[in-house]
Amino acid sequence: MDREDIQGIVLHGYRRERFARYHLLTFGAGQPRQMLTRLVSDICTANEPRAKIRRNLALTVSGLRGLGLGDPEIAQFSREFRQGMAHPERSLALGDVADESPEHWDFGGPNTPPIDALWMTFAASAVELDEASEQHERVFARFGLTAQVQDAVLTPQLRDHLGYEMKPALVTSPAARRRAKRALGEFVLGERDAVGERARGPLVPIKLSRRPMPDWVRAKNALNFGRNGSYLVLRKLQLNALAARPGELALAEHVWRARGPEAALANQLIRRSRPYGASDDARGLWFVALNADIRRQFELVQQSYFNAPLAGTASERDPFVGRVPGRPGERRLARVRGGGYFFLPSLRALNYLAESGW
Amino acid sequence: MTRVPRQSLTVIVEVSDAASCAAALGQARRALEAAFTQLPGLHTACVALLPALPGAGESALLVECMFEGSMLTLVLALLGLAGPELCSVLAHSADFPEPASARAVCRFLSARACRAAACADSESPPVPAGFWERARAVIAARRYWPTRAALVSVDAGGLERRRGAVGMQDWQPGVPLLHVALLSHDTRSRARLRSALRALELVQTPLERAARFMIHGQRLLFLAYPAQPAQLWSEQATRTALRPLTRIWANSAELRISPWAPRKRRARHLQRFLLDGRAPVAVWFNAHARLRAV
Repeated sequence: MDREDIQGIVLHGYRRERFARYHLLTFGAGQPRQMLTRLVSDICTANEPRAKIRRNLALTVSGLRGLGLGDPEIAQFSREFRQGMAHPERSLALGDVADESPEHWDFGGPNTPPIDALWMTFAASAVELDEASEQHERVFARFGLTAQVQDAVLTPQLRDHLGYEMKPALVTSPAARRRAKRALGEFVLGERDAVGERARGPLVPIKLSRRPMPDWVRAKNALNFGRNGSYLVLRKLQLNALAARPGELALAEHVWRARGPEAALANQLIRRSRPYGASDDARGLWFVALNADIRRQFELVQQSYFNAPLAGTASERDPFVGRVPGRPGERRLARVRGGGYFFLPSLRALNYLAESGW
Repeated sequence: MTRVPRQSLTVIVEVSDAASCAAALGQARRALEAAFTQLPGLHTACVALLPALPGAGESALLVECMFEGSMLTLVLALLGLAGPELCSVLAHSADFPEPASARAVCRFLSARACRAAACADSESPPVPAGFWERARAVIAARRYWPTRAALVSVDAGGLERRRGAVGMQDWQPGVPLLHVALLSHDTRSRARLRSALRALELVQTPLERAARFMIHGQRLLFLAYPAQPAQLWSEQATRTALRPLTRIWANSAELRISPWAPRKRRARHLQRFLLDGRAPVAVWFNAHARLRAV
């Protein structure tokens, strides 16, 4: 595992850095490559245990296009990622219909400015976060990028608005941790997955380079752009105003559904969610998940485990985020306010984009 | 109370103009689905336009239903409820009778009925077969594993459109899973395929209600009415029936899978093949689907 090449958020939950700010960037007529060239050295890898401020960058399909990838390279990404979360096909698969359809979203939908990138900043205090964000915002403005700013805060007890502990669903026991390490390819592209395979590509051509590169890059004259990257799923879930804390049984069912009846690693996600808001009418959760195959992991959980009857469960659908039967677009506890599918490239891939294809 | 035997009818007819047939199916969809819900004794029904595959001829129309009672009664009732719509679809095939009386349509359908090559239905009575016959079939299917599949060039645009159409109906409960694969041109592959299908029939792998394989020219069709979403169902099916399914689909030129690969890897490759090779269905009815609100 090349920890220097993997972005930090893949392997770390940033529990000490409780304050987070998400900048949803729109490239428009700006200069995204210059922005990336300026900020790429700030992006945090998985091998920086002492960093005070953590920054990570994820890109949508339009963002990758804006940074210079062409159609042949884009076509190698997964179909779900290329379509995006707001595509009608994906909306049907995820149950984002009626009031929750992308037309009603705050961001990421067809009626809002397109999201090209997600810049995430994490800090241990609000002051440090403000200082870092101010610098970034100056850079975004200088290169003509517009940003929507969203905040999220972890409580010191790492609990969400309903009092539940926020922890990655995957790593709950030492055995699960060992299993996940052996099959890191379920979350990081290019690593060995649960069936012992490594995802190849997308491959991008190397144009002209003098920088030292691994042998495999030189031999093929192509960079495995996907290697050490991951797919990031972002969803803004707003709690219903009158949402009450469901019982422990409901929580157990939610966890059981999220892990799947067989708890197969191939269907699990790494969660990096954080709560947002304080007032009753604007509080909820920034659901962030990482996986290597959106269809087999995130969408399967959403479609087949949360929104379908499962044998051995008390209710027909998930008690937290399952849709209410007979009421289209209504979920039990929270409603979707926006979202998107992003690609979290490796540091090498980000450098490739920043330097116009090496 | 005596139970009426369940029958299945599968008809595959070549169509001259796929585009106009698809348009006619689109127009007739609502009427046909409404008629299916009113037909007494109908378990499942499905009408689909099979895509044109390289080397497998032009598009074809698949009409499949499982019902109780006689075929004449069923066709008579269907013509009474949605006669013009059914005829407008079937008229795209050559030799469709004019005028379309119930008996003439029955004769037309019977003459083109296609027998299921293998059924993996948990509700069907097991095929009577002795121990040695069963063992021979299983050994024959094991022996003939294709070593090299021919490369096929698939139309990427057409495949993408198919996947898009399947994706748009994937969320609906009870939607049939129709998989279309291109068979290898190798003559020995047909013998291998028949052995594998026979083994599936004899060993009685319970896959799903009315799951069946059909061979039509160079096409190998698989049709099932899964009770769960396709992604979850395919994951479970490829785990429980990995060997028989791999032996069957290994004869397709599109599935490249090594028999020496670990079991989990073979299951994942097979699942991907099963999901990616699906074809959209135009009209369907499934009396056993648990209806859920959207």
